[in-house]
Amino acid sequence: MKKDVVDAQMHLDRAQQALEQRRFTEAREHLNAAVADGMSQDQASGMFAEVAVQEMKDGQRRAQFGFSGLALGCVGYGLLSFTSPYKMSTVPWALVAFGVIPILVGFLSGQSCPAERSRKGRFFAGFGLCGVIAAVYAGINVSIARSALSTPIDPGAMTTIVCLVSVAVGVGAGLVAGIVSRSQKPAKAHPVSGGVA
Amino acid sequence: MKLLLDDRGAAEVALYIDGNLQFDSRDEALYHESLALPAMSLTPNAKRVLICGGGDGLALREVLRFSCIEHVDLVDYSAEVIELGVGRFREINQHAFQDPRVSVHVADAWDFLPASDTYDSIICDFTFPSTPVDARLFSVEWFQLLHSHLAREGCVAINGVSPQATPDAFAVLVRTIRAAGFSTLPYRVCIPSFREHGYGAWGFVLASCRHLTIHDLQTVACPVETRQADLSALARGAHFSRAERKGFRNAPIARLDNQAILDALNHRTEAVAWEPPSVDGLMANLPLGHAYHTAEMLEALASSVIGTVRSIDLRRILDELIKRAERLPKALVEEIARIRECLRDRLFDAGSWDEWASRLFAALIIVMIIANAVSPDNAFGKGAHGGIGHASISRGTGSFGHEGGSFHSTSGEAEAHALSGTGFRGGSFSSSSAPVDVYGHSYRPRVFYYHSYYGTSGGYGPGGYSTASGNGRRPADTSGHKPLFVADDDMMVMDNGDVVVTLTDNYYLLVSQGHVNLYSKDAPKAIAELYADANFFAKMKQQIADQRATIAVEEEARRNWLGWVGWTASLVPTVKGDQLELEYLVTLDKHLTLAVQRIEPAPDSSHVLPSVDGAVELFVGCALLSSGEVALYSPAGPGLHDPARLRANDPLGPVVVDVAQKLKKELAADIQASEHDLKQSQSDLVSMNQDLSEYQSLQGQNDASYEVDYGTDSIPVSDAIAKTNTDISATQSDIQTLQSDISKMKADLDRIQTVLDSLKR
Repeated sequence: MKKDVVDAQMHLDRAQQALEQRRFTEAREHLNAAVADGMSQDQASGMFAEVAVQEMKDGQRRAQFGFSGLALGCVGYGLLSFTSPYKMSTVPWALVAFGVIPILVGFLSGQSCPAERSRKGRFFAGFGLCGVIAAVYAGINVSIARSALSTPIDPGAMTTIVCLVSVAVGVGAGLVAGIVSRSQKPAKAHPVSGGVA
Repeated sequence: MKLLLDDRGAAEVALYIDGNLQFDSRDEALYHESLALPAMSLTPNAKRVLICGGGDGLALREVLRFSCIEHVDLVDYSAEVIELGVGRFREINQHAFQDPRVSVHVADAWDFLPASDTYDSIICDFTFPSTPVDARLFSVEWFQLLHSHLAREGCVAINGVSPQATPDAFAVLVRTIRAAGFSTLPYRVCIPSFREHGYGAWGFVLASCRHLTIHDLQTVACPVETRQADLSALARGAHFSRAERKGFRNAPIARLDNQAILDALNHRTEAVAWEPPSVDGLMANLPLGHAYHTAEMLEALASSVIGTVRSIDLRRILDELIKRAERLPKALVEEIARIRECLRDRLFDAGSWDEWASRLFAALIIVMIIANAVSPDNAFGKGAHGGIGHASISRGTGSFGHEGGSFHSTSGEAEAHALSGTGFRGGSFSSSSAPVDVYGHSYRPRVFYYHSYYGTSGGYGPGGYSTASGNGRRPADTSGHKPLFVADDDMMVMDNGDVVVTLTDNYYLLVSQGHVNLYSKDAPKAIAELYADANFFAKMKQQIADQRATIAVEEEARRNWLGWVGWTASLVPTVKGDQLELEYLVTLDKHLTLAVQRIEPAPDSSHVLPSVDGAVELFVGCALLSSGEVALYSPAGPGLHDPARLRANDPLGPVVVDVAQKLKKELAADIQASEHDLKQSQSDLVSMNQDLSEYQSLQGQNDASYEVDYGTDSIPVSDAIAKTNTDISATQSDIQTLQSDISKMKADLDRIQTVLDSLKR
């Protein structure tokens, strides 16, 4: 009986810790374990409610980050559309297109991921978000740049070029954003099975 | 016969037969009152009436409103339509079929009429003829039958066709009715639902054995009230233009054996096997005189258009639509099926349809190109074309008070036509063997052999002519020079930066280091040094600056493009070609920069030729004066040279003759074109005055808000008068301008001819 009380308290502490780190699933698991070990229903209900509230707030916060990342990417590449690699010169343009914007988008993308999300998942979240925006940006701008030329071009060649450039720019920017997103470390997990010896 | 009922609720319904609108309940009263009431009103005390067609009972309703009627025979071969008239339309036709005075006959009117008695009035409310069977009831034989069954004072009302959409068919109908011995009174009525369907104003014909005039309609006294039609206004629609009335007199008569009404409706002509125009024939006869519109270019474009059009298979599209018919409204499916049937069986010979369409499209494109060649617009120009004019640089400096026109072909026929249009990828530019223009079109390679003489060389001065080679000046350059860049129709930049302005196939001007020398293609020596007119230099520099601006825009576009895709050059050959083009453009720009430097020092802006009224400029510094003398300005000053002096083995004589002959040809062509325009404008003016008279007459008979046809619109007659007056003023002004221009050009032409005659002697 005494051991159960100790275990319940430990689970409660772990649940509290998980809650602080916004690891809501883990927090619920520890609370369930604590209830199983004898924690009172009243105390457990309060904690469950707290987890639910925090989870909702965290969802809102992550959604804001996600939306901000998308908006920043669109606005950033949209503004960059006013210039071009030639007008801006290649190096400054590359710094912005493959540096500044992807880093910011990657950071916001990382922030939008749930705490439990793995590094791989975070990478692909940043990669996907920034890569798609950058690819669309490149595709549109390449098409516009070609339309200014008076000489005709074979549609097949044009499609190949647009695909090549879009994929290259998308992958380049996506990689940077993915790495930045991945670099935001997830909180250390304390699974229930590992915590209750 | 396919019936389609567009039932839009209890009160609104429209009937279609074989896809043609028969009536729309919203305005059917307008149609049926306009059809039946005039004939009935013009036949007082009519007792027996025959209605042919009109199974819907709506014309019957109008007839039965006359209390004097004792008996009405309604003959319609469609039991379905009569069934609708008895049932679905009974409210609209006010239960007309239940009237005891009515006898309904489900029969063909063609068969019914011979066995029947005479009638006081006959209403023909047949549907739009689309088959030979339908067309029988629009033939002279049918109307002769009607004539024999109509009382002496009786009247026939005939539902016709649209005089607006199918004027030929309406004319055939009127002519045919007249040929049957009737006096006719055609009139048209604007029926909104018909207009919505694209039928235009609808036509009716009143026919009678007695003489009918518009006055009969104007004074028609209808004993019953109308709901939508204004019978007193029908006479307005009976006014037809002179051309239309002429059509009524001259149209063919529809007979059982000729189907003229169907031919007119389908715009078909008899016994003329039309072939689509041959594109090759068109190409062979194109007046190509523009450097940017070559026969090769047009052929390529026409082939492309033909290929595109040929790839469209209208019948297959319709078949596919039919296959997907489940998702389409039923009415639309029926219409599509009819179009397919029509394509297969009637209107178009399947074998020639795509030929016709493709060649017509090609012809249209070619006409557009020619139109743009004559009068280029911004929409046609590709890329940043602004600033590149095609006016001649060799004339038109304005110093002689003559507005110089374009001297399109002075650079020689082969010179003016690009041989290739592959852009700078063609390789011809890189080999330096052929000149190119700003778009990369290659021109025939040519070499100019000349000595450049700087400073005051020979030429005409107050003391007469002295040869250019006689001043002992050092020949600056004695080798042959190739033009690298065709800047304009007659201006080329040479490999050494000199600028050559071609006058004719045989003579050209060399502009170098602030001097203008006249050369013959056959001799490296300059014939004379000409007056370095500041306006001429300014125009030339402006021309080069414009070309450079265009090149800069093209360069910028390519750099921008390559900034994105340059790294793919090893993967995509097109990008490699773009890189090559950029290199050529840079080189070209260098040559133009060199040309600008080479023609310097340009003369001071005050160094301009004096303006001489009435002079015809031959080329810069040389003009035919109104006195018939040739004025040539050398660097030393002006000298006047009459034809007699030029004739005495003067080396300038052939130049003047050559250029004057060229100018004469151009002037003659311009005069011919202007005279054609003048005739057209005068014809338009006559036509507009006739229209104005008709509008004024209509306004006098009605009020100012009375609507008349104006172009494709229907507008109040007062507006039509105002607009026609404006058009008349504008046309009169155009005529005056054209007459003035023609007089001036003729005077110039006479002067040129006089000089040429003098020189020949």
